Amino acid sequence: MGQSLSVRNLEAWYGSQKTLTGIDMEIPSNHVTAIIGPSGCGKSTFVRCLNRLHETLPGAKMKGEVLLDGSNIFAQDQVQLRRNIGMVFQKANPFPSMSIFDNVIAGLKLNGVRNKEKLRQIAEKSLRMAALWDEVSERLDNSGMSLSGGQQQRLCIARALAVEPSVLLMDEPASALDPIATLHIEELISELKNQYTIVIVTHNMQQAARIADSTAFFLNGELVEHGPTSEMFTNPRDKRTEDYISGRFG
Amino acid sequence: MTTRQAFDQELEELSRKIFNMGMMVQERVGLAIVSLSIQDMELANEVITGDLKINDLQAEIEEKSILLIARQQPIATDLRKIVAGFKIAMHLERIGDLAADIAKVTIRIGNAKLIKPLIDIPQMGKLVGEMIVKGLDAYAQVNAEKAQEMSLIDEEIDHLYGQIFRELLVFLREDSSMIDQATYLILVGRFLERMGDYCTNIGEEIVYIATGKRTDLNS
Repeated sequence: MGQSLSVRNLEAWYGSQKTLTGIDMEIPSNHVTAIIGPSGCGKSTFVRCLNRLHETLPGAKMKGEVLLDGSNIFAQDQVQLRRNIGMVFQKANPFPSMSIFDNVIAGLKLNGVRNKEKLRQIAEKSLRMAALWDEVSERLDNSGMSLSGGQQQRLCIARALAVEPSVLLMDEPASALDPIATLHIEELISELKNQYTIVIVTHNMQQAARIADSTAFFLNGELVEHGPTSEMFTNPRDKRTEDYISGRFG
Repeated sequence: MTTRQAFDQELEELSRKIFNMGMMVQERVGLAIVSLSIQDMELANEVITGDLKINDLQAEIEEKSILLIARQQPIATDLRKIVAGFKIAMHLERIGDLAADIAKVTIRIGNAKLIKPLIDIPQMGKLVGEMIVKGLDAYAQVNAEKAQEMSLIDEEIDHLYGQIFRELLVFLREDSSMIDQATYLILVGRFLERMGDYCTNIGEEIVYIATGKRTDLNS
């Protein structure tokens, strides 16, 4: 089952430049939460803080609290945390020298799982959950790079799911895909929320409207508005949100 | 920098079309009542055939709204404007139909002497016209308060309808030769009363555009 995230007074910097200012946000479990906002508003930084990826960059730092089901992520082991909070990036990034099968189980192997039958079972389960199994079950030994862009992205989702996270962070997972592959990913997200908590950064407003239960609008490092998607897209509270989502920004 | 000038212009054009349709409907209601009051068959026929133009306008507004939704993916206020505008056009079209129904009554009564001088019916027609004009003003300004104010006029219309109904019931009871005309006039009262209700519906749509909230203005 997915776990909830509570973000309290989160701040982040790149060097001396502050990119997030005092974010407070509740992310409920088994919900899809979309993060929207113009380029440079801090939305990617925000999700990268949630699994402590942000602090791995030179000169980057963060302050505040992020609680995963009530437990502070800064007190947790980073490797364990990233197993629990998986991430899918904008550009599908399968390991190029690995087969489809090895890509899916790469995280498990790193975690020391060696039992072949167990690895096979988890690979199948993960590929099924990522809605890719039927397309690749006959060619698991082929290179991950032999797949189409949309399939590669689902392979990366399968890889993230294989380590059984409770939260899945997605940073524009469909922005490089064609409309049909995008819809596949969106369908998948809607199914995955039954078992995972999903936070998705998207530039595509209609995508947020289609799949997210709640939507958060970031601007200049500030969380302007966060609420049910149905309200945000019919009657936003803040004029800046309205201007942005209706395309009249600036 | 404005980013959606072309879309904004199309939205304005849509509002203008709805406004013009409203003005045309208001005129039709007035003419229908005049045709009845002065028993002018030619005018009544004009109102009936003129209804086709109103139907065409509504179809045009619907078509334009659908295209804007499909091509511009409007959200928030833009979406509310289009969806509510679509419904306002629908309510106006129904008022137009009822105006044509009144004109049909004019033709049915023909040149037979009216059983009573028409006082309350023209007054109801005047109030409906007032509601439409005030509603269009509130729509153009996206003003929820003005829409609510307009909707209050419906109470006067309902009151007059009750009065007409009771009065004509007396005619029906007392003189069977008056059944046809009294029934027709009750129907006209009912048509006007329905028009008032459609105007309050329009008021509700304006409140929705302005605030995003649903309200009942006909209680």
